[in-house]
Amino acid sequence: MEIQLRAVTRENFDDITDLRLLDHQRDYIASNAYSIAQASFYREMQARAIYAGEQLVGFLMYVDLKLEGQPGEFGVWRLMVDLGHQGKGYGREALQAALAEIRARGGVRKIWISYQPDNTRAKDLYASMGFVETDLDEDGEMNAVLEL
Amino acid sequence: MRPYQRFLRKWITTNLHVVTKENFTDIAELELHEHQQDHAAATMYAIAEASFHPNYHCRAIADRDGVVGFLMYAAPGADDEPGDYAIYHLMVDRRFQGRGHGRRAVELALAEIRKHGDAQRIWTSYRPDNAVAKDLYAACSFIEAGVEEDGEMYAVWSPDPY
Repeated sequence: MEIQLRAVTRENFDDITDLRLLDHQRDYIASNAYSIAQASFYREMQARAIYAGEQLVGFLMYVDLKLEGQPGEFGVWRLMVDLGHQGKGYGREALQAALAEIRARGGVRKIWISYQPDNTRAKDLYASMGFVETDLDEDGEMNAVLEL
Repeated sequence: MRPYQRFLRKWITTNLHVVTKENFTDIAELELHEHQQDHAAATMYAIAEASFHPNYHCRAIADRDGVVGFLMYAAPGADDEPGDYAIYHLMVDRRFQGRGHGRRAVELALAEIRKHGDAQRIWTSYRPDNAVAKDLYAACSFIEAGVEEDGEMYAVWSPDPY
């Protein structure tokens, strides 16, 4: 099934807020409603719906880190796949699509991602895509970076 | 009026502020009691939803020191009855409840809606067992219209006809 990133709109946002996670995964990430609300105030934040064919399966958000005084760097701040669609490789494909979108902007040197150290699925996924762990931040999240 | 109510009226200010990136984080951190938790998620949903609907207006409820609550009102959209407004998603942080913020916030929202100039009816809804909401809206001159299919009690405010 082809994975596509699409804009969040008034038509699909309701379904995006209904996407589900496993209980233990809920602490890993802000709710999609929070992320969409937050992104509405910042042009640097890009929210995307993840589709497998015509089926909505997940959500991600990436951020131009010039917002935080780091021009030329981006961060993938949210990535989630609905519990009914996990384990199919959609997260990886969606992240690849996001990285492609970010690269297409030009002039991007680094892409950051962060995750809870006990989130082994995230850790393995990002490591396999070339992200290298750098440090734990003050929130206890592991930061990892992909140098382009 | 009881003495403590006089005190509240004199010393506690309630204002409505437009929701912006500056107060968004404070709104996200508002807390509710356990049995009110469904409403907390609804606040983030409301702000997200409003970003796609220019006729939805999100407001932070604030006292002198900062954000204490949230509400949203909707002006009539293209598919709505002209003159029909609605107030949704009213919430006051559990640490600031019982000080009259909710009541004054609804009064301020009513005043703001009336400034639009075309309001004929202002709707709200709440769970029929939500006695706090029921009393608050009744005190603001809302009249109950009945329970709809979604299980919510709908109440409506109309301008004085005279």
